[in-house]
Amino acid sequence: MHGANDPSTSEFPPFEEVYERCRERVYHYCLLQTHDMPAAEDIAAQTFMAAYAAYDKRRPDPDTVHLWLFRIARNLAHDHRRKERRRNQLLQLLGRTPEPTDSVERVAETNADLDRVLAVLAKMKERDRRLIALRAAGDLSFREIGEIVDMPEASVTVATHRAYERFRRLNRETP
Amino acid sequence: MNDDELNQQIAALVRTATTPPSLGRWRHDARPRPASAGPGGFWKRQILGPLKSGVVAVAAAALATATVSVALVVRHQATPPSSPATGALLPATPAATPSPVPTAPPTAASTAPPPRSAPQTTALRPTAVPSTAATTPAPALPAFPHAPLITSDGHGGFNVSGSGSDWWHLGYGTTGSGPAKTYSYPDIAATTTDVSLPPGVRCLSVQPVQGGDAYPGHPGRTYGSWSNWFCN
Repeated sequence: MHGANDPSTSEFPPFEEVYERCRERVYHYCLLQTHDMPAAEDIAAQTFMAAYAAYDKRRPDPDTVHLWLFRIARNLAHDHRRKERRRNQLLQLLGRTPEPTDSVERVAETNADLDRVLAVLAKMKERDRRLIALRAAGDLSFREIGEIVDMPEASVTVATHRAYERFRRLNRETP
Repeated sequence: MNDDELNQQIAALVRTATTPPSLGRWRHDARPRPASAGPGGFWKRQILGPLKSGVVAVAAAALATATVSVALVVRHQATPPSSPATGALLPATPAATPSPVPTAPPTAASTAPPPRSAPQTTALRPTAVPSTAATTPAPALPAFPHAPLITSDGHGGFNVSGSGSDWWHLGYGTTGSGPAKTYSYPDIAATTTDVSLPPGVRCLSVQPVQGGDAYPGHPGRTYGSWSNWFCN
């Protein structure tokens, strides 16, 4: 996925094409990862900004450029979660509760089922959530997911199955 | 329900129900440019070049609906400062009349991004380094690839790219309240960079300026205090 194209010998698409092709999948992946619409929009935008900044130099393989984008999005989502966790820990130390975002309301207005999916995903571990998000929103194969999360394909298959198992259990336990 | 069915159900939900309105605003500027220019070619020629002077002046003027005239002068430096700049970012204050708006060529208007909640025009011009400012003509084209978004409540923002993966959000609003972060993201068209800074820049500070345009020495301007440094 990190192969570089020689512009003199292969078609190198303009970034706009890549953006149009991948923007929704990346955004949906970010939404499943963060269960927070504003955060997902921010992270998706950051993903494309970072990709845009590096696109000229990196010249990713057009066939696998989406994997590169998902890898960037994964790292940014991870950073976001880490910051959120620190912030919440600080607020707890201060005896305050985190301010709710409007994303839950916005999602609920849009689709109650999706709201439930996001609520269940929010209870899951980051790795499980990432695997489900890459599979569902990214529409990626186990092999492709393995390239993004640095796991062998067989391990991804098993881990994703277990993630779905946990999703079902949490879904049943969620009122 | 097996894994595939569950996966399909989640995929269908997330795909059909959550495309946010802002996705439309992420659309890139349709300004025509040759494919050979590659990403950033236009901005590298039109913006990065003038910005080599080392000082960035940003005029965010003519917020027509809010009748606010604000010029944000952004200074930057390559290494973190030993002490923060004095003063805090001042909130924008209403002006009696909108400032004159730097002109944009007709082609920019005809290729403007999708409609936004409030009409606005923004210009960026090089300032302040005497040796180059005297010889470098103002860019003939609008400084930003597209005008920054301003939401109906007067908040907006734009994106400044540093070196590598460093970049900044600059948010602004008709008041000094509200989470600018929340409102600034839609302006970051994912395929464009509003301002590109020279390599090595790590820190930004912002100064609000009222009146006139972004050129130095313009009479009748009022300068606010520089904000603290924001460093990546």
